[in-house]
Amino acid sequence: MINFNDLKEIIPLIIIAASALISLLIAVYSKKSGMPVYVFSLLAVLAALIFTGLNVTKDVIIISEMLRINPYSNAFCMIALLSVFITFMASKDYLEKLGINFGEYYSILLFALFGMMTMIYANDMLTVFIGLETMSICFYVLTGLLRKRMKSNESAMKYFLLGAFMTGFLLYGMSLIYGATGYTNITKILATYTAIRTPMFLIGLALFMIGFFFKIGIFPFQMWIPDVYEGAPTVVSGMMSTAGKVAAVGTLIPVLITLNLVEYKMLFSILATLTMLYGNIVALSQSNLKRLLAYSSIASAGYIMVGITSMSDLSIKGIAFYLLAYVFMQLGAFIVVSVFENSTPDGKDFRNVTFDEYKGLAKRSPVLAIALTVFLLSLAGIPPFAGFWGKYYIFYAAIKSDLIWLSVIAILLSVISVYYYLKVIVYMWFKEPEGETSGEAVPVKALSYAAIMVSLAGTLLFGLYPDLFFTFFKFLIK
Amino acid sequence: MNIETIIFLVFGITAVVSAVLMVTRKNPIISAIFLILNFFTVAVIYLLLKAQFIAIIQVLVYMGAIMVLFLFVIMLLNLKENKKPSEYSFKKITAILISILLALLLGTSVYFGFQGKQMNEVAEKIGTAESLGRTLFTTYSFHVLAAGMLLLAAIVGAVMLAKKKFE
Amino acid sequence: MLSDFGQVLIFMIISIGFVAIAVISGKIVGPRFASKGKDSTYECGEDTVGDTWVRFNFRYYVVALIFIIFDVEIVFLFPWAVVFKEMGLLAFIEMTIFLFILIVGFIYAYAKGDLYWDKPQPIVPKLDRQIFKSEI
Repeated sequence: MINFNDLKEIIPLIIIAASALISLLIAVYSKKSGMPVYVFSLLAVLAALIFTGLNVTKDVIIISEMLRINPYSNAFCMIALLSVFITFMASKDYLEKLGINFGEYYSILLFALFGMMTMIYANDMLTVFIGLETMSICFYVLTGLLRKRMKSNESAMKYFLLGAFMTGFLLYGMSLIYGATGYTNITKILATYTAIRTPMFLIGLALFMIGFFFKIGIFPFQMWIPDVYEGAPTVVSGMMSTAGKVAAVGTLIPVLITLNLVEYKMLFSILATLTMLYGNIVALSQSNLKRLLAYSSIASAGYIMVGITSMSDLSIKGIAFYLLAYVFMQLGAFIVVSVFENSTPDGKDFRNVTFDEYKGLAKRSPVLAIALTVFLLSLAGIPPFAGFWGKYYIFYAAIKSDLIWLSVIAILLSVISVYYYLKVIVYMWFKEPEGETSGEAVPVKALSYAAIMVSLAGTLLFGLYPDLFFTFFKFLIK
Repeated sequence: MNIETIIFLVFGITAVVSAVLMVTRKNPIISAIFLILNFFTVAVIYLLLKAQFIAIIQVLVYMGAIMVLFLFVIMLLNLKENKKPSEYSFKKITAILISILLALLLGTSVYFGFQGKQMNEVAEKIGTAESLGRTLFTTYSFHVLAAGMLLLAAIVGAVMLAKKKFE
Repeated sequence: MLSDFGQVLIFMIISIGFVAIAVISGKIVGPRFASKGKDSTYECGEDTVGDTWVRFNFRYYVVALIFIIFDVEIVFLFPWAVVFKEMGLLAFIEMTIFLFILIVGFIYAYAKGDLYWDKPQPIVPKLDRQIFKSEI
């Protein structure tokens, strides 16, 4: 039952839902320009971000125990909101460049955000499902936004079919869990879990996790990521790889940590190892920057999996920090790619996304090159940047829970990853520009510039002062 | 064997057979018609589980609306009947084996999970529209509104992608 | 004991049996002499042209898509209507919000012109010859 007091607790969720509706109406009635809806949705996301930030220490279970507002979910929600906010900033210029600047884009993104927040706040499997579906449907649509490009259509189709299939797994898992425990409420399931480790429950849990592993991109379910991220509009790929991952991880982790499946630690570590191996090794042979970032996103899923494997409060802390750093660096890298990217004359394919076209970028636009260099070094885990601390906290948690061999593998693979990130950097700084546009600076509009600067500032700030994060989220340290 | 078991066996077997036939047919229209049969048998199984409302919805929404959409898509694609002989590749055989394994795994887990359990009094009444309405608009009120958002997102997405061109 | 749906089932079995008997007995009893003319499709004495697989207009699809979503809405409306009297104001408000959310979708589809059907433009014959004009 919804009552008035409960509504007060979910103000950010209501803001996002209402602004999604209103922005749709604005989009309909301000025909040509996307400006009013753009400003409106940007402000709405900002308002939601501020509201969540103000009430971050709340710890309540509301609306017939369907939603769980606690510091963990608030933290993950804020990271997702931040990611969407930066995406919003960068979207307008990119969409205008490709001629797809429709007002609906922003409302669809707000709908996706509503789904993510519902999912993260969920305390009931049905809430999880509805949130996940809302998010996924918006992602399918956003992926296929560039309808002139065959790659975009193909990737939307692939994503939709695989996603629908995996949703089937998830739903079946939920129904088996319900059959085994008699509850859909996650708190109650977790409370009764030790008493009923039946095969039905375990298979249900496995299917449930498969659904989420697909969204995060853990090894046997990662095959869609490169194709989808390559075909989708670049800012959307950035958003999916950050906010989507934050939402899925934020929903799954509290459940898995509470269940404390110590007897399956081996299985989890094998999955983590395979994910990191696949992501890092295949990335070595890439020559398309979007695909490279997609594989690096698989590798990051592997690092997150290392955090999941250690199953302690320390690892939640590590994963939260890693995801925050990841939002800045991965999204920042995608935004730089989106600024540089262009379409071929017939509008049917991407241009300027292969390494060759990055030759001599430093001479053309030094700021872009510096930003991209910082993001890539941060992704590789080089010390003064935020990505280093993210990996540090995760591996530290792993070592603390006796997974030394796993952390050694993870560190070795991180070292391998430096090779392919450096390759891009070398192309940018030490090669001469080629082609007809060789000497010109890359045009950057103010808003994209601001988005890049925000990501850059985040990467540097949290790299130099990682404690800032933990001062704000004090509760994450127990 | 009482009458419910007989009905279940008849419709359960029909459901499986029609599902297999649907996957293996070459002509998509015939596949679609087997899918209708499958939906219908599943609706009857819902009825046996005392979930009357879901059974009716299965008939109305799935057999009605969704099948219309399926047929539209098939007609839109303008497929010609594929006359190629079916080939038994390694991939196909692996896929069949894996799906049989998965089915066995799920089947046994469900069978042993529910073995010897009876439906209780509450569960028998839960499938009616009244009890569904009562829970939907009290306990699950948030989900109704969230589902509204989901449907709206689906409308906007579908209209956005299906339009021939934007103005 | 038969439940209400048991009666439905018996009704169904009888109706299926009725049709089945009629069809099967017709097949068994009726005389059949196949010939080429008899097997061909009859369309007012004309030979048929082309395929039976006609490609539909794309617009039907958009309408069908929107229809499905409002069809799913019924799933929520029906249980609500059944218990509306006892649930009181809260359920009413909830359903109003729910309907409002979906009506926004309807407004969107309407305003975007997806429900607008392009009417065929009849070609009005034009006469260029001045003779008739001057006479009129």
